[in-house]
Parts: sequence; C-alpha cells; structure tokens
Amino acid sequence: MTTGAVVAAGPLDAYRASAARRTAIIVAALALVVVTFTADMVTGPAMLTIRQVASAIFAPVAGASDATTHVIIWTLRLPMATMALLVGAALGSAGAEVQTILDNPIADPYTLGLSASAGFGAATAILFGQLLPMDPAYSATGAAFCCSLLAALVILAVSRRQPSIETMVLTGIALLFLAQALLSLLEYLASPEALQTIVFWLFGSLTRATWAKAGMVTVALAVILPALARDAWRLTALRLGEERARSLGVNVAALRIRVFTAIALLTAVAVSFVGTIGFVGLVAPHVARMLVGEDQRYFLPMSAICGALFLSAASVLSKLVLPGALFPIGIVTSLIGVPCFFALILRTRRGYW
Amino acid sequence: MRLSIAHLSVEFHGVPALDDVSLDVAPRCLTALIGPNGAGKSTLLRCIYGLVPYRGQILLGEAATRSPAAGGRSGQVAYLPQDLQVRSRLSALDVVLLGKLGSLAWHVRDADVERAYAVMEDVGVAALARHPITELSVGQRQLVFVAQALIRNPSLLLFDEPTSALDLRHQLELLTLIRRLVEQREATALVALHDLNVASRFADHAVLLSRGRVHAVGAPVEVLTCPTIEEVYGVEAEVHRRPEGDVLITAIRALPGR
Repeated sequence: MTTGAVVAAGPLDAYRASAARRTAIIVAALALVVVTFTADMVTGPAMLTIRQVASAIFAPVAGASDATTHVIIWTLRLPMATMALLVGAALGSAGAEVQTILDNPIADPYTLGLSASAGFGAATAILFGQLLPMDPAYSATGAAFCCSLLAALVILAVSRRQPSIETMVLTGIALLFLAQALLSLLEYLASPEALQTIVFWLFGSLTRATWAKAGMVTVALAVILPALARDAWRLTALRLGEERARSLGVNVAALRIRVFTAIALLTAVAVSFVGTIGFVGLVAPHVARMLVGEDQRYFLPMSAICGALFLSAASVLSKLVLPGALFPIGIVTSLIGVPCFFALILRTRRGYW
Repeated sequence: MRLSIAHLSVEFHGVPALDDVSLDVAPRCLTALIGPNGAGKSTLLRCIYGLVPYRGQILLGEAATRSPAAGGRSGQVAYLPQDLQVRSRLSALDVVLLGKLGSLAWHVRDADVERAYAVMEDVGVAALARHPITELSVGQRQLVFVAQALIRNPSLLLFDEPTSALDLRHQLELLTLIRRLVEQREATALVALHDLNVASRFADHAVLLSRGRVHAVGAPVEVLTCPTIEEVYGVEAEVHRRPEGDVLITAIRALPGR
C-alpha cells in the first residue's frame, strides 16, 4: 500500500530517542525531588543551617553534633520530610491508576469515598477512643485505616460481578455521601475540644509522621508499585477503551479489581497516617501525563515522583507561610494546587486527556 | 485455521441476538459476513473471540473457545472491534505495539518496533507512527487498528467492518491486503462488511445473516440475488453480474412497509 512519506532517520532511532527523552524527564524530576527534600530538611522553626543539618545526619552519634539539633533532625524533620515523599508517591500513583481504571480525568484516590470513610473512622476513634485502653493517636490511625479498607471492600463486593466504571463510581460516591453524613453527625455530637481534634485530623498533617509509619508506607509502596508495574502494558491498553483492551486479550474485569485493591491499600495507608491531604492524587497524574504521556512504564513512576515532589514542596511552603509555625499541609496543597490546576487546564485546552 | 460453529445462540436480556447459528468457515479463504444492521454480525465475531457468553459450540482449530485467552494469548486470532472512538493520546506506533501485548517486555525489543513499522508500512500508515492516535482522522485511526491486529501475524482474522471509515482507495487497498494474507500466509479471514459490492468482489464466500439467523451461505454471486436482497434488506435493487465474476448492486428504493 502507499506510504504517505518516507520515515526520517530510521524508525528505531526515533523510538529510542523518545524513550530516552522520557527517561531523562523522570531523572530530572527525581533530581528536583532531592532539591525539595533538602529544602524540607533545612526549613523549620528551629532555623538550622545546612551545615548543622548535614552534620546531624551524617554524624549520627549524638555527641558529634549538639543534642537538640540531633533530636530535631532525627525525630522531627527526617521522618516528616520522608513521609512527605512517601505519602506523595502513594497518592500520586494511586491517583494515576484510579484515573486509568475509571477512564476519568477528574477521579482521584478520594473520589470513591475511601478518605471520607477514613475521616469517619478517625472521628469515631477520637470521640469514643477513651473507652479503649489505647493511645488515642494509634486508635485514630487504626480506625481510619480499617474504615477506609471497609469502604473499599464494600465497593469490591458490590462491583465484584460486574466491575464496570458506573458500578464502581456510583458505589464509591454513595459511600462518600454516607461517610460525610456520619462524620457530620459525629461533629454535631462532639464536645468543642473533640471537635477541634477531629477538624485538625481532617486537615491532614505530616506532624504525625514517625519512623514506624514511614516504614509501613515504604513497605506498602515496595509491594504495590511493582505489582502495578506488572500490569503496565495491560493498563496502557486499557486507555484504548474496554472493548479494544479485550480485543488485545486483557481481562478487563480482573484487571480493574486487582488495580482497585492496590489503590485502596495505598490510599488507606496514606490517609490514615497523615489525614486527608487533597489534590495531590488529582494533579500529580495530570502533570505526569503531560510530561511523559500515557505509556504506563513511564506514567506510573512519573505520577509517583510528581506526587512526592508536590507534597514535599507543599511541606516546605507550609513552614514558610507563617514563620515559626506550621500551617496545615492539607490546606496548602489545595490552596496552591487549585491555581496550578487552572493554569494546567487553560494551557492544555487542546486536551491531552 | 479451522473455525466451526454449531447451534450458537446468544440472548441479550431475553432478546435473541443470535439464534441457532451453525457455520463452517472455510480455512485459507476470505469469508464476508453480511447482513443488515442488527443482524448479529458483530455479536457473532465477539462470540468467536470469546467476549460474549453463548450456548452452543465454537471450535477454533482443535479447541473449543470460551474466553479471549483461548485464542488471543496464543496470538493466532486477531479480533478487530468496530468502535473507533479513542480518548487516548498514545502514539500510533504505541497503539500498534500494543497488538503484541502478551509478549511485550518492559523494555520493548528492537525487533518489535521494527515489526510494528513494517506492518504500518503494509497498511499505509507508517508516516503517522509518531502522531497521537486522537489527532488522526477516523479512517487513519481505523488503519492503525488494522495494523495493531496484524502485528502478531494472526492466522484467523475476525474483522468487524474494517472499511467503514475508509475512502474508496483505502477500502480497495485494505481488502487487497487481507486477500494477500489469505493467499500468501494462509490466513483465514471472517470479515463483516456493509458494502455488498466490495464483498462480492473480494470474498470467496459470503454468509448472510438476518435477525440472528444464517439466511444464506455460498459464493457471493449466489447469495447476492435480487430476491434475497429484497427479502433481507427490504430494498429493491438491481444486480448486474459482471464478466469478472463479481456482481454490481445498485439499491433503487426502500420497500414500503418494512
């Protein structure tokens, strides 16, 4: 048959060049993550210099640097900065795959009610936690995690037979409203002190970060991201639509269930440890898609990196807004995220989705 | 590849879409699947590929099919769906590469890229390789999907109206390409077509479906007669037999009361 034009410079070279370009973008984004992480380490109410921070990190014996600096770095800043990266990566990758399996550009990990359920769980624990012989911080985290997974199980149970986009979205949104209504009820019944605790929990904050929590998010990411990567080609194929993915031999129903389970775990871990930090899971995949396209071999890691970058930068800003104080990071991500998102929409009106 | 269908029935919410269809598709031939809208052409193709639950039996090669994995994973069967809407901005080359989904490694092998280009060259869309699929015209998109279906070198082609969006020249070129695959690579093709003239010119056999049943099977010139067209399509038509062996059909008017 006719060929419109001769393909220039060897098709293989062109393909390799485009792969190399996308890899370079990912490496550059990783470098930016190092920058924001460093900035995150040197900003804070204690006004430490880079030299003090570095010596506390690289000379881990407390005697080598002064003890206060050592405590600030190792029990406050490092866990928080690490948690920002880990939670950002979890939300970014979860958002990427929610948008993929629901074929919906405005979906994010919170769309399906997972975070609202977590919020309800945390509020329950805050109100009734004193009845349990447990540290209230742990009971809130535990209850949030359990409620979030419970919501995911309800969605899985309802959509098990026919995991269509409609079933999953409608079940998720119904759960979202239910959880919000229950949460409002608890807030209505709560004492002013308890209400304040609940509201602060819902804001989302990295100050709850500990090494143990960071370890758990690391484990979740280490297990789930490779599992998602195994489905990379199938998820890319799903972008062509359900029928076409099926024509390529993809079991769409099983894929959707599998990936949703992974998303639910990532979201539950992230939300229960740091609260509902909005917008990261929505924006990170969009930025990633703009930069490296829809091929999941690049899109998935790039979404995770964008999420980490975004939350890490938000963490820095949350310390700079009110010098000497810590602004709730969940508010920062939305306040900065919304204008960025508008800019993104206006710039790409030709439609990259 | 042998394809044999016996007593195949499919219902959608109690409404029969296929009703006791029995059919032997001749190997190494191009069989045209024709019939009016809603006759069951697409459903039949989707059944054969294992996408629709059915009653009856479908034998593909030596094995009975139940799921796309049965034929799809082996790479021997290519099913080309009709839907041409896409919202993805994957490049045309990536779309074609996805045709090898089952055997793609994380790092795409050079051989796979070269194969994708070769197929796109065959189909006539190599120049579009780096364009996002959404930016192509519907006809170009259709050809990219044809290339995707052909990249695995399938021995059974199940194509659902592959020419629906193509201009005259590309219609002829695509059907010539399918004929070449049938004759040179011994592929078996079952192709749903709306254009009866094209069907009669390129197909070895025609299967005429009407309301979920097989109305007629045979050489296109035998199937495409005035009374049959009148009965199945509700259209008064003129049928000219040409010396080349095919027929030329001109629809005159829709018959009232149908």
